[in-house]
Amino acid sequence: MKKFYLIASLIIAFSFSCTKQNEIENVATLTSLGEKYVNTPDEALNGSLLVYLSEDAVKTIEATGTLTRSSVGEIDMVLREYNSASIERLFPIDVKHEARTREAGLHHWYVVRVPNEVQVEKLASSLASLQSIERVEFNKRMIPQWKIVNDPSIERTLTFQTRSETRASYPFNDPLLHYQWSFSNDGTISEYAKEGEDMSIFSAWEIETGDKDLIVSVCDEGVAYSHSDLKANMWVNEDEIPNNGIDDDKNGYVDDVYGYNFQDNGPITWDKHIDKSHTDEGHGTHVAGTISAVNGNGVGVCGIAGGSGKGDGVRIMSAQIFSAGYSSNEGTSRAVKYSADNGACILQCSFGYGAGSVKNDETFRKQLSVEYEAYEYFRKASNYPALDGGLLIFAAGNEEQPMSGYPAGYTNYCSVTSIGYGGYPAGYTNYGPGCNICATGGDYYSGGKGYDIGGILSTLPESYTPMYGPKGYDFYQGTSMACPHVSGVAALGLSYAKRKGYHFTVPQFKAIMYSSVRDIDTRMVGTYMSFKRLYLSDFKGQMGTGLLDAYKFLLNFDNIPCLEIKTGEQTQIESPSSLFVKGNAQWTIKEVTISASDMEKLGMTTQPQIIKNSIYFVCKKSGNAKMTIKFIAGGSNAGSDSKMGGDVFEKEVGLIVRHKFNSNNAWL
Amino acid sequence: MKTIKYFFATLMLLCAMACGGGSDTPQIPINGDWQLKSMNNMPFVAGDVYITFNSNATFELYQKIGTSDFEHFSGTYQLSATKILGKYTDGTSWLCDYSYTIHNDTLTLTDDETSDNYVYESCEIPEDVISNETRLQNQSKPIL
Repeated sequence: MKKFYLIASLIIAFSFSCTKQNEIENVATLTSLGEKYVNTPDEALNGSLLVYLSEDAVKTIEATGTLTRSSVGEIDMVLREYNSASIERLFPIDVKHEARTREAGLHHWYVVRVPNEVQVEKLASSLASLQSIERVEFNKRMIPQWKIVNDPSIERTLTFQTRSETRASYPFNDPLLHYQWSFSNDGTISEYAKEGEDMSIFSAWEIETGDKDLIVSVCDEGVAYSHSDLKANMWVNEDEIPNNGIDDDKNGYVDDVYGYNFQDNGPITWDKHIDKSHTDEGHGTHVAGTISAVNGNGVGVCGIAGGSGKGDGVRIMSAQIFSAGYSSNEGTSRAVKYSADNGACILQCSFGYGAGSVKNDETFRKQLSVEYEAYEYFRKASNYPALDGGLLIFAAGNEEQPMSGYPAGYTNYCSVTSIGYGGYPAGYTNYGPGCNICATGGDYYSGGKGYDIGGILSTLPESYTPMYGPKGYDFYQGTSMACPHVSGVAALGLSYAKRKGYHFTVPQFKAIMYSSVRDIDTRMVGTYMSFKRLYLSDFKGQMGTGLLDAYKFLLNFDNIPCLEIKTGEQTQIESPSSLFVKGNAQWTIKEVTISASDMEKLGMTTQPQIIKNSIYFVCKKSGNAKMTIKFIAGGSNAGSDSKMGGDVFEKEVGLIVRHKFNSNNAWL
Repeated sequence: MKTIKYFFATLMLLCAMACGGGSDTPQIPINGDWQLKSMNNMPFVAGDVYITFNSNATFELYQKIGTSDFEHFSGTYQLSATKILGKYTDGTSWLCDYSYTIHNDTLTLTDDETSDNYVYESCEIPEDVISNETRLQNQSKPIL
């Protein structure tokens, strides 16, 4: 048993969420370095440094600068100290979006490159002393904390049975759909699987299957774009001629047909191997398959927004930020901006900093300065008719910590926790402040015994040897797998909204998403076995608003809840979240408002009162109006600069006040 | 002879007019489609309600109040000079006998007991409201 837990611990500690191994930025060290320093040199990459130039320096360098010389005298004096030093804009010019780039100030960011043997701390010190340098940011190395461990104690159950041998009917003919319990769980997949513990994808497919004009950017390892179950749903940059070595569309990148490799500054890769600890793992390909593996092609698995079988699945853009386990601020920032500039409306991010390494929003903004600015650039880019902005969806992290990692935990971004097929928290998942919503990320050990099928089955590069799955597919687990479930459902929702002619701001869209959940909190009593014993009270109210339900989500686009109230009677709404969800969704009411003119017409003398998360009011006159309720999604406090917390969103509720109502609910 | 013909024509016309309807069904234009626009002088924003009054004294009601789809109700109505009352096919009576007035394209129903008034405007009911494939049949509001 001890050996079991040791192996299990190894597996879970290295489960699939890439995390930066950066230590907590030492505030004292940062302070001693000076106010221009964004972060400390811990874990910094050799050979490069990110700098934010002043307005005057930008003008000079743009007028007369070259790769090796900026034409800014004091900067060039420093560069001359180093052989083959160069300076270039961090974000290459994309002619279509240069105006927007400049408006966001991103043209101020430059990268100084020096030989690898140069001490970047010394370079930073020299540059930070210059008037033309306003900020200095070390280019941080991201060291992956995942490893694939083929644990012999995990029972292999996959026997590649075809659909016809299992359930009576499936929406699509993809033969491995039976094993995708996260889409529809009939409880038969193992003795620990529980019927209904899924994302209601089969039901959602009756309403929507995706839109080929919607692009999801997978910021991750490279996506194997030639995979037989992904190829037809890959985004293709039609303005780029493949492999001619020319930036045909002048977006700043050469031969970026399916996306780009921002870590290696070249073609997308997915099978790079340096050594045992630094090797690609198929992470990006697996994530992409959950979102948009091709549906109805008689091959492999399905994707949540993979289409109807007629080539109409959402498109995957590969914004590669990991290569053989390495990544950087520089590459990540470029990837995020590229995603915005080339049409993505959802940024799928199964990566982050370890829980606790960034403690609040203010620290995130300051110490991940260029990354933060790139995320905000994406958030403000409107690339899809149904959405006024971009959606950023992150994995909460796998450190078993009572808080989300960052960037997931940032107030305006979506942080996704994970459950297994038994409907209980995955043993590895982060939970608590900063976590907004829960999805199925799998847990091999859910229930106590290890089964491969406890993981999430999705695409894997076809050149790989899978641990548990058939060629081209494998079972992985992690908040990394939960996150693309939310991205896929969000893609379904946007596709549907576009079809119906709806248009939302990002907060409005997230409000519908956060309110389209199923209760998981009422079961957080006692203990549950995973690779360790879970004390479920620890997770109560800590996993986000609930388990995202794709079917409810689509129905909720057309639904404004309505309260019918008798004239003159005191009204108490005991659990306002029941207006939007059944059961015990974890929402905290922050505010209830109704316009002054409506209050007067309804004979309300005071605004509705909030007492112990219930709403109280009286309408002395008949009429109708809309009331706005502000909720906190995930936790009892909203996130702030100084403290991680939930996201705040608003929902509208209709109010009808009449002296009487019909027993059959009919209007007349 | 001509004079006689005209006399009979006029007589026939008068008879036709007299037989045009009983005293309980005056010739007023309630027949048609209507959409609820306001309630007690407040624009109706909490949902959507359409009514069709048919000439055979039946009605169809389509309402979307707190639901994702339109609910459909039907029944019969009785009309007098100033009142309209009705009953649903499930036997439930309307909330009250409404007083009604029609002015141009506007129908006003008033509950005399409470003074609540509802203003409907003549409209064309959208096809997708009538033929809603995922219609809820007289269900109470599902809270998802």
